[in-house]
Amino acid sequence: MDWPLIRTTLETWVESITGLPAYWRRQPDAGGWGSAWGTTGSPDRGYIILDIIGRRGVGLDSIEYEHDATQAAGSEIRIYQRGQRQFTLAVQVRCFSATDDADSKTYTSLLRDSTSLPTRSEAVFAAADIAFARVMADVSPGIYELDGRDVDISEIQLRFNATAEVEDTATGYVESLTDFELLDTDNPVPPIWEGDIGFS
Amino acid sequence: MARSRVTERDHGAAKVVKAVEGQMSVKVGIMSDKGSAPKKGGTAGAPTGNTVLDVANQHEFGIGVPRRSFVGQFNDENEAELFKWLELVSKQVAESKITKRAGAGQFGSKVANENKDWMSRGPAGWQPLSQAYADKHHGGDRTARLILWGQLRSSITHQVEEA
Repeated sequence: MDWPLIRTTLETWVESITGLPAYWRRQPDAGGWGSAWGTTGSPDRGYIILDIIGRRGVGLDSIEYEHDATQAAGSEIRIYQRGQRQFTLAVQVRCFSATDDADSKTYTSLLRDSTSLPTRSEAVFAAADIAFARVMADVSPGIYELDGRDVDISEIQLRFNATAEVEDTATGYVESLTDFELLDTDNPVPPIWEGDIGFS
Repeated sequence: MARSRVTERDHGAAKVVKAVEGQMSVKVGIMSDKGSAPKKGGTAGAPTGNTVLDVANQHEFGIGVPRRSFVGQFNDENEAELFKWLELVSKQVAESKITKRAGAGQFGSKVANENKDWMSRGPAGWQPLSQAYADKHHGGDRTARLILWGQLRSSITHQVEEA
């Protein structure tokens, strides 16, 4: 799975449907952490926080042997381990009631409609080797104060299917595909801010 | 003129249909009764000014804090198991061993309890505590569970409705 491509594809798709800027939750300059906008402040209009909230393998992985007669002797057989994967994309829309024309629910509805009119979206997803499966949740937790402003929040969670593939190394070792590649290893995690709201 | 006769014998299908007809709906999560309660906080458990539902939403959706989805992520990661439990209960209902309502109640109770256990174990992918919060409540241990009073966890319940 090409996570950088998948991330870019999903981000571009969400932005093209809604017209709002989208940020990955752990992106250093994103407001996904609530107060992490730093000196730049959050966008004037609404924005979107993207997050992968679940990922898992489906069924059994398989080992496949492919023969390519055009390759040099000794290199004509390639070994691949392949398996089906699923992940869930959370698209959280945050709108400012004072400056936005539409409320957050309007934007999540646009995304839902887009998945049910799949011709365009399917092609976009297929280019990243993923396929939309179904809507897992579509909720509106309400209005919360963030960055000193009232923010109207809605979220839609979309399940995607993907295929993972690992090509054999020269030693014949086949890597386990039990765990997904971590999504955010390339990005430094911004300072964690808990506030003091407690948890449980 | 030839005559024909059709005899319908019920081998139990009517009973099964009667047992399973109609739909039940099961909700699992923070319901309005417990969700509207004042949230305990601080070192003495005094009310924070927030309700349980306020705090639940902040963690579930990562509003102002790192996201720690304790209901959605549980369902997402355990979907296959949930369907297995549902299948077991449905079989018992179809065999008239329990009523639909009792089956739905058993399923809801099972899911709610498993959700609480899962939350207690500290799900994978959750961010460690901030140093400030860990210092204040867990002796500086950033890997400690985010459970202080157990109020949010114990507020996960189920509700059965006839659809």
